Amino acid sequence: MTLLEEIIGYWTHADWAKIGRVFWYFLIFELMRYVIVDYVVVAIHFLDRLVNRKRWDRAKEALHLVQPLVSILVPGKNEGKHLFKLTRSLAEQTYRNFELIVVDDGSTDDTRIIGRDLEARGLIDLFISNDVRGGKASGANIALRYAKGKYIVHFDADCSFDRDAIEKSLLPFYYDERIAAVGGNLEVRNSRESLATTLQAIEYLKVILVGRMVTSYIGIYRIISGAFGTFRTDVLKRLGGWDLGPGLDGDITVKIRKLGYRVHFQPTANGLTSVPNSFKKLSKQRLRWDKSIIRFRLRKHKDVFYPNANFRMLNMFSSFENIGYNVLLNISWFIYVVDILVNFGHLFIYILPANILLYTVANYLQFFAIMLIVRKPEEKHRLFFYLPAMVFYTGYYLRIVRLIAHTKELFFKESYKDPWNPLKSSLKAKALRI
Amino acid sequence: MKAHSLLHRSVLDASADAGHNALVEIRVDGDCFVYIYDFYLGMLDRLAQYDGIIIETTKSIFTRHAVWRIRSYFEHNLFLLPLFLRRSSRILDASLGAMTDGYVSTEESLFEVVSITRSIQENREKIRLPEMADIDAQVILGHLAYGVSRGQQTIKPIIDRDCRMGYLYPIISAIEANGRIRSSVVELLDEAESLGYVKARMLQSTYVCSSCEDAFLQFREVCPACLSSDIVTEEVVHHFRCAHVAPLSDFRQEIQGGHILECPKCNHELKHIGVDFDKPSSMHRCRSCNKDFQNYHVYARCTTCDHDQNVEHLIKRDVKEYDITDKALASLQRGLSAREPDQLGEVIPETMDWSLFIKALAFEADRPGASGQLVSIEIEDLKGLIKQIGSKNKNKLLTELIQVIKASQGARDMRNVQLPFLYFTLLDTSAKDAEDIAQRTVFLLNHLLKDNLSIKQALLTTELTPITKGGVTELERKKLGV
Repeated sequence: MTLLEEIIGYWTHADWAKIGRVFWYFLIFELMRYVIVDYVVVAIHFLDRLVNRKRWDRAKEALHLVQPLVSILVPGKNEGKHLFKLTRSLAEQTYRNFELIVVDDGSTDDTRIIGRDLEARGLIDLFISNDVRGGKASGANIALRYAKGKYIVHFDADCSFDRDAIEKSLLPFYYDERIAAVGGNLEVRNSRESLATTLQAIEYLKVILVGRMVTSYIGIYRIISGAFGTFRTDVLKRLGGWDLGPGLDGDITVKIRKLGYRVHFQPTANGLTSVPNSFKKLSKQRLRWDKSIIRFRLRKHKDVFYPNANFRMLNMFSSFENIGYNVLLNISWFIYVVDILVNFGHLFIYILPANILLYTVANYLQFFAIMLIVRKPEEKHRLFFYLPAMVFYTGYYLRIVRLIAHTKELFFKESYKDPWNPLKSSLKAKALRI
Repeated sequence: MKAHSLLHRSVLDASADAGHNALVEIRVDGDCFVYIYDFYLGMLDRLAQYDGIIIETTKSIFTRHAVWRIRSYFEHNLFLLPLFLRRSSRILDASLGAMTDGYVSTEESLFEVVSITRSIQENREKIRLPEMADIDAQVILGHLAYGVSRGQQTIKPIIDRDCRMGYLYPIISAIEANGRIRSSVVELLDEAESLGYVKARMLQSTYVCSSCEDAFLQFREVCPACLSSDIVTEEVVHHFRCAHVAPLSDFRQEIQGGHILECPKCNHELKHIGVDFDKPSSMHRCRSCNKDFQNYHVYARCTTCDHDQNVEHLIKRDVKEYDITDKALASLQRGLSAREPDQLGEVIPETMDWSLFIKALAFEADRPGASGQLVSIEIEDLKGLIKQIGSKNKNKLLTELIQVIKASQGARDMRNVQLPFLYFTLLDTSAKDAEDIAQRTVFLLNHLLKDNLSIKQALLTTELTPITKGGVTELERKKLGV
């Protein structure tokens, strides 16, 4: 008898109680959250399009009637090489009434020369060059200060967008006036570059496209990506713009939610972004992102859990979902591993392959849901072959990175040492415990 | 001996048109100077007879006019003459200093004037300015001769607000201002460099109007949107604590007895630059159209033609200084010019080199049964012609003349240019036929010149010679001027 036959034989003879005991983590958290809920939300999405089509049409008419000025803000450091492509991408937009403000945050390359040149050619409306670096938030804030538009679109310089991306991202403001911020969908441009980028392409479809649709429909959408987010200018100015990062994308979303406004994810507003092309670079990026969950959700915005006058159930649930799925479940996964090793260590040879199989099947099920809503699904077919690798990518690699990040931030406040922010800002933030 | 005792004044000229005396003769230590305190063009011819000229400077317009007129005069006997200014007050015009040889402030300073004059005379005696048909070449060598006579090794530009380029080169600039040359000062100096007379050294750049090439421009910073100059500039403040960034005025709060900086976002006071905040940049705002910007445009309005232009469109000009070369010194000492027509060595298409032409004629003379004729056409007043068309167009003209000649010839015939002569052969042609052909050719050539150069009289004369050994020898002698 081969090992495979032995494993199959073992699980076909196992009773449901045992399966539930061994795979409790998968059945309770993973299957529910990433498969069942996804299908429910995809169904709601189609239903919503059907039921509210007229309302969306009216929103479109209203937008075309008003044609508000939109300010596109692109802060960044050493992003000069992306600027011309960005302006070309914007020149193709169906929505034309916008101004483009680019901020050079103390670049050390030719960004200033390139930006000034594009400004002189009329491809950039306002190019602001800071002699010294102030960080992403300060770059966005100076652009906000000089923005004249009714709405703000925040872009990353290395992104490009579908022709109707800006128009689609503006529609929700005319669909529901309580919406103050809209997140756009981002897909990976360089998905074919390496295994790391391919896996991230799948991850973006799962986490950003479907994951944010889910949170948006539930009303707990908690992070508008800095690479593509649209905001009401009056609300942003009322908040004083972005606060010190890292994690300023999630921070601004929470701040908007705290004011009582709604945030919306618009899956049809599509952009492409470049992702880290090696696991080393990816680890660095994810360590920064994951540390920010502790710093901002657990520390800065812990008041969402306080039962005071500003308490809102959805805000609390939003943060809880964020912290729960990223921190608590991550920890509980390691507890699960210990549980299995301690109690079923002798069955490990049967459990591990079965676990991988379950996650792989779940990945395929989830990806079928994605294929129902994703644009250009034919271009995503190649990703099917990489889905088994996602078990290791999300199941092991990202969990380990996340645990390291959370530990470093919880116990050592490492985010204050992150060179992503200038030292002067980090020192100040650390001293003031913000 | 007191200087004033050396002075012997005599009124030379009671100005015919001004009604007062314009020239006073001053003799100092054997040299005779002329003192001018009024100026009219008619006096220029008479000034060359003196050892030097002293000009009154009480009327600045008169002084400048006199100096520039003298220095741009076509006779080198005058424009190389020592020229002094009688300094009654401080002379601000740097160009006058550059185009004159010193100042006379007291009668004692006349001794110094005499010394300078003799030094210049000594240098001038070493110079033989050639008689040149080409006005450009004349100006170049005249300019160099001026420098050499003053013991200068380098011709330096001088800032001058009355010159279009903003800089003047003594003599050449004066001549240009006088309208005697078609080429610009820069073109002439570049030409001098190409002839090996000077070696240029870059000093700096200057920008001139894209419309009229004048250097006198008024610069101003303007709004890139509406071109208004009504712009205010403000520093941008970055508050570290909350990442708020805004112009300084947003942070400024007036309080009793002064002001504080308070963040409008987090309401904290900004106390210490580098600790609480910094100023990463500054922004401009146009008060005319409310445009915010960091990079204003710089516009330049030409004070001469009123053309308003972005500085990016201005024309860049190099300002150079020029070292006089040994070749220039040798040319001046020998009285030769590299620009003289017979030394050009320039090849006119469809013509033969002189030595080859002579050899071919000799072969033809030896050929049994040969009955060819050599036609020589002389261009009368060649210098006047080149002066009219400019040296640069001379080759074009000669090429066209040769094309007309070629059309009258057979396939074996040859042509040569030895200015002022054009030679061509009419091989295997009888003397009578050759005369008819030659006359018709000259008629066509004259017609060409008259039609294109508005010349009324015929400029060409012709001579016919049989191609014989003796004829060829005679031709060579004529070329050598024997």
